[in-house]
Amino acid sequence: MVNKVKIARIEKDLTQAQLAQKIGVTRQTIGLIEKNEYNPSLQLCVAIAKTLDKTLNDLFWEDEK
Amino acid sequence: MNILNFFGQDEFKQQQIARFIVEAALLQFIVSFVMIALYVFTSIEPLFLMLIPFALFLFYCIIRYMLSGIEFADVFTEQEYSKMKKRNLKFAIWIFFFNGLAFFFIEKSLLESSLFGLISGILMWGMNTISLKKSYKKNEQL
Repeated sequence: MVNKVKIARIEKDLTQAQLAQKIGVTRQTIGLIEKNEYNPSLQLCVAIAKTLDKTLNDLFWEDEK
Repeated sequence: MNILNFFGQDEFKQQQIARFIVEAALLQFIVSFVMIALYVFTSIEPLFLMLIPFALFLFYCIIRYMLSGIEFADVFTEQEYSKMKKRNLKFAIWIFFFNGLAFFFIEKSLLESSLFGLISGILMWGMNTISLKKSYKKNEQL
């Protein structure tokens, strides 16, 4: 699943470790999500979106070409 | 209550461990049929045949977890890696003393208990070192 978590995190001026700590996961999990190597649960997607002040659409919806 | 919470709070880790357990259970199930066949057609000790699938389950889970690189999920820098290496060594020394002492109370033999402590300490250190190396390599790519 393609996502824009990395861009949103950088915009919010957070490191992977800070974001991980805020939502209660490990930094490895954040890294895997950003590299599209792990599909997070809906619960985790919501937690990420809330922390980064974005909607699920902003982060996880693929743009139509 | 979610049983996966026993494996930590991180959902990726929880999912991976659950996956290893399912794989191990499947392997145990298949090997159990082989053991039943061996029980019927050979005269191997039944208790030994019964223990093999259990041991296989346990070792499969441990080895998969060790090689997956998910144990040290927050080790990203050279500094954190060195710090964790030292911590693993300290932990192995503790295991050596604790197991050696526990064995000494049972067997009362200094040589045997030292040997038992040494083997368990080395084993613990080796497993943690491999796991740490795998985790660090995995994290380096993220």
